[in-house]
Amino acid sequence: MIMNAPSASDVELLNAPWRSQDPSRIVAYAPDRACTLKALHARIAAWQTVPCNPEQPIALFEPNPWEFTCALLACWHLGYRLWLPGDNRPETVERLTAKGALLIGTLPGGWRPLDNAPQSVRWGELNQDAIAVELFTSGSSGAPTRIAKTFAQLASETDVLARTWPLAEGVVISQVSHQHIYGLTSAILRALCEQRPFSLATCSYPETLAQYLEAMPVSALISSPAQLERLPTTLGATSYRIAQIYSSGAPLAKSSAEHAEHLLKASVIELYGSSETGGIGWRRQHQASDWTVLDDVEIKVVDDLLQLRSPRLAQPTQWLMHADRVALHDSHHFTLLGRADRIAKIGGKRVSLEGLARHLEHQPNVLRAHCVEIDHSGGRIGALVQLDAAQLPHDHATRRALIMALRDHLGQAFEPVVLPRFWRFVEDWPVNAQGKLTQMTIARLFADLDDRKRPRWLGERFNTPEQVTITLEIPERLAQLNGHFPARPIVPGVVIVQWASALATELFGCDAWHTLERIKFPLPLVPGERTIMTLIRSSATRIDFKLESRHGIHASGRGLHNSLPLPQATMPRGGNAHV
Amino acid sequence: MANTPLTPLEHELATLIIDTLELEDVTPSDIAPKAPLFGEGLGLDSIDALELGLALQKRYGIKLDNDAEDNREHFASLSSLAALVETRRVS
Repeated sequence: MIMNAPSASDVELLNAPWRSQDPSRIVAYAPDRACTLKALHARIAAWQTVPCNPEQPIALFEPNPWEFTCALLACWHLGYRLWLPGDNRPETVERLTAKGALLIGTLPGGWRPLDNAPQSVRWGELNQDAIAVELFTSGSSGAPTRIAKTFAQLASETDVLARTWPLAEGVVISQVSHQHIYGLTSAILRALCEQRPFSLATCSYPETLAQYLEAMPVSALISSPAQLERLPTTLGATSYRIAQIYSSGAPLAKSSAEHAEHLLKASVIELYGSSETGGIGWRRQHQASDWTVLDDVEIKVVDDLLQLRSPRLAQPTQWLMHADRVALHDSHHFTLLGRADRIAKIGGKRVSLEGLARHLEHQPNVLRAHCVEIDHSGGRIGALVQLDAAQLPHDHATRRALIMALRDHLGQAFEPVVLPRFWRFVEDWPVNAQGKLTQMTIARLFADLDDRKRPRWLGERFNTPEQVTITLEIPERLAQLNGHFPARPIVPGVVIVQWASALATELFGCDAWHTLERIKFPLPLVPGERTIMTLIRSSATRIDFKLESRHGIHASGRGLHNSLPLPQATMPRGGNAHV
Repeated sequence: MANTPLTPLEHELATLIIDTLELEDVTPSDIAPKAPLFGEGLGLDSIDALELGLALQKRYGIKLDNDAEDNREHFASLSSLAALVETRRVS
């Protein structure tokens, strides 16, 4: 194959360079076959027979890169609205159908052209302001969000990559899905624009990859940490001809970057960005661990968070706050401090949950903070805050005063609607054995919102395998306070006993109590109080319990239950045991 | 801070506010009748205003006018809210 370096305007996506090149040019390769531009045009024409009206969105899911590319270009030149779902799971298909999309490709019931059409391609112009694709990314809540990309945004992506690292001769081999922005631009669009053949299969697995690498010189290997961190050393037995390796999606471990470079004898360029922002920066860890911004991106740091401006943003002239925490070295270099990627949208306002937490940690008494979106009251922020024992609120008045002070502090930097509404103050950061704050623990901390009969769980600690203390706060809106008593609400004693019994079952795995002994309620328990429940397994059939606050003991006694079936049932639950 | 006792209607409205907006650190006795509900005082926000408008309609059948300035005055405090309910309630 003869390939001269294309000139700048030839690589411009908006000019649709695939229209007018030499028809005999090879546009795609497999180890056993090659496809020409002429064949590409014929297949585009076939896909253009898609039975769609111009208003209806088309959802394209097609793992085969050849068919995908033909379908994509077919829709583009017809001016159709194109959605690229990230997967073909049943819920995804249901959602797309509900939104009235025409499914094409390998989606269930998806339309596919049978044969090449007799007609020629209709080459509608690509308008730079038109939406080229709408991509779906999983948001922080888990529900996918749709991100629209104009032709200008995509062109900016292929341009900056072509300008920074023009593709060397050889085939562009991809290990990542083209249903996402990185695979789409790096593996398909770049190859088309810079006139390098793309691989006819997505080489996600090392076996396919080895087959391709052995068969052809490689211009670029489009990869990700998922693959590069799992490269089998057997790959290194053959010497391949690879010009460049790209990785994106998440930061690559330094050891994996070095391993890949050593094994495949090519440099690994990591690209940093997101579906929303497009490419922001890059690094080669062999040279430096900090990131260099791409030449058309401006960055700054506000409250540790990266803000950027680039032609790839939906609004290129405006600064966009990214949820990643960074340290800036100069206007072109930065270190990633933590991939936060946690943005909540409250009442239409976007807020960085990390930003909120960092602001809380600026308060002198706050040791650590974590913010989450809570699906209550129409979607609000919940804050988990670790304080010194002496600073913990112990009743309604001190808790209210503390919350007001923290909200006032945050209110100087954030809009009112994004200020946390639900607060959980803890003495110990509630992590599991791996040192992680888990979703399960967060769910427990806010479980009283869903079940108004529960006390507020704020952590537990096994002092010995037979003794556990649980911090419980009495919610002001506890259901059992209704009518008990209107003027001065008090938690009924029977409710405390029920809590003790439920916790004993949960933590020691014992049966519900059948008999109560020596039950006492020395002090009334009022809402807002912070209390400690102590449970001691005194024998195989007996649990002693005690609930106390700084005022003294509110309840104590013992519960008798049937003996445990097996000693294994005594394992404390994994979440928060400090054994 | 809330020394003035609440009237029965004010108490009812305070409970409505707390339940509707799921305020977990506030009890009716924390809200003084004349204290501002939005901004400085109780710290309610624009979303809360919408929620509260809905709750008033549901509970008392009150339809708010389109006059933003009027509504701002009605929502200023517990006692102004009580005055609104007194004059406009249909249920």
